Amino acid sequence: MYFYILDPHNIPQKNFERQQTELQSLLTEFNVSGEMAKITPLRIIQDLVDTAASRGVKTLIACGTDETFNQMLAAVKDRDFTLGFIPFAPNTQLGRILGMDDLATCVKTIASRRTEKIDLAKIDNNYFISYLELGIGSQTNKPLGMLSSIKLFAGSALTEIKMRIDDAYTITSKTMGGLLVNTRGTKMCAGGAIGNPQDGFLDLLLIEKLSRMSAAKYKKEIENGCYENIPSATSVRCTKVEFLEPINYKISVDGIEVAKFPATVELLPQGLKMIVGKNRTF
Amino acid sequence: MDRKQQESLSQASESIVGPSVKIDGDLKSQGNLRIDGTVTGKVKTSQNLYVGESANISADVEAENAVIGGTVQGNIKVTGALILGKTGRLLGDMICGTLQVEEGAYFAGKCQMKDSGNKIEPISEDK
Repeated sequence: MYFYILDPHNIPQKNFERQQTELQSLLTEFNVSGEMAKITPLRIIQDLVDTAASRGVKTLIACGTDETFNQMLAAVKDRDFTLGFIPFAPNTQLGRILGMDDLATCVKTIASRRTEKIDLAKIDNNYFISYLELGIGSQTNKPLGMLSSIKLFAGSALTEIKMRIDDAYTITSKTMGGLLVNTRGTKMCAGGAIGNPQDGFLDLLLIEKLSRMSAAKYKKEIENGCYENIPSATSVRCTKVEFLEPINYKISVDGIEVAKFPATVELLPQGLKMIVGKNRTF
Repeated sequence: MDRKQQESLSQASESIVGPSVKIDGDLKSQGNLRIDGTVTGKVKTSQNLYVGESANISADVEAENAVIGGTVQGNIKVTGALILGKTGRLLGDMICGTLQVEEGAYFAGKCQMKDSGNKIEPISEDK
């Protein structure tokens, strides 16, 4: 049985109600059985996941924003569920990664139950399937105008970052920022070795100081998180990263702070069974 | 390995150490590796290694093929081709399958190459 967790948070009420009604009719049309539960101030996502587990549900579907899915992922902990995502907002990062665009596509995919095992990354007590952002990395997938992007990409201050990789070596780098990628969800650099969530590796990408000319030339690469295509960028494959210094340096996922230095990230290879669409980016 | 192959080797790298990066410890890679920064410790890859002009490596190095364009202080063991480029500086011993040293390169150490197996036969007196 499928258990749909509906999250109205960050979605206009009219929009949410319309999507909920459309989802119900599509599920009926495609003969997909299941139960729906809405998050309320009294029924938080953890309660709903626990309820689903106690009823023997094997498949959880988060309906809402990226944040809904990330919260569901954290609530699942080590329990054995197959997870899915239906975006109720436009242009979600996870929707792009998983190839779950519009409601009809999502329900069709769920009905055909196309699943893939993917790597799951853990930072302290949070889980993620996309990427962590450091410094200028938080601009990934957030298109900017030409002038403001050049100003930002060429003018960002450098921070000396220290990390321990795979318990084997220490990296020190003066950087504008970077990404720790499980998968990216950008079409521009999809299909390459970097950012494949099924290869058992994380990819650490760091970007160094850029001139105004380079910032203009590589604007698209920066916006799409394809740092490996920028000369002088660093790209390292790893399974464990300990962010050491500077203390309290912000780490975010899709612009939302999830941790601060010091923090440890570990990869759980093939740790998650996901329902994925045909247009997924991996 | 010609110039085109060298360029494709440097561009196809899965792991890249940028110029401002300092690495301390054992850097191991299962794919192609390009180093433009500073490394202290050990460097090992089961595939190709490209050491850029700005690189400064104080480590023993192991790779399948290697192009050295920067400074390496340590011993190099390469099973295939080793190219010491015109800007390359190697202060250490090398073991390699084949060797190419470009004009301008600096090398201080011992060099040992794999025996190709071609036996040199003594000239017979009958002839």
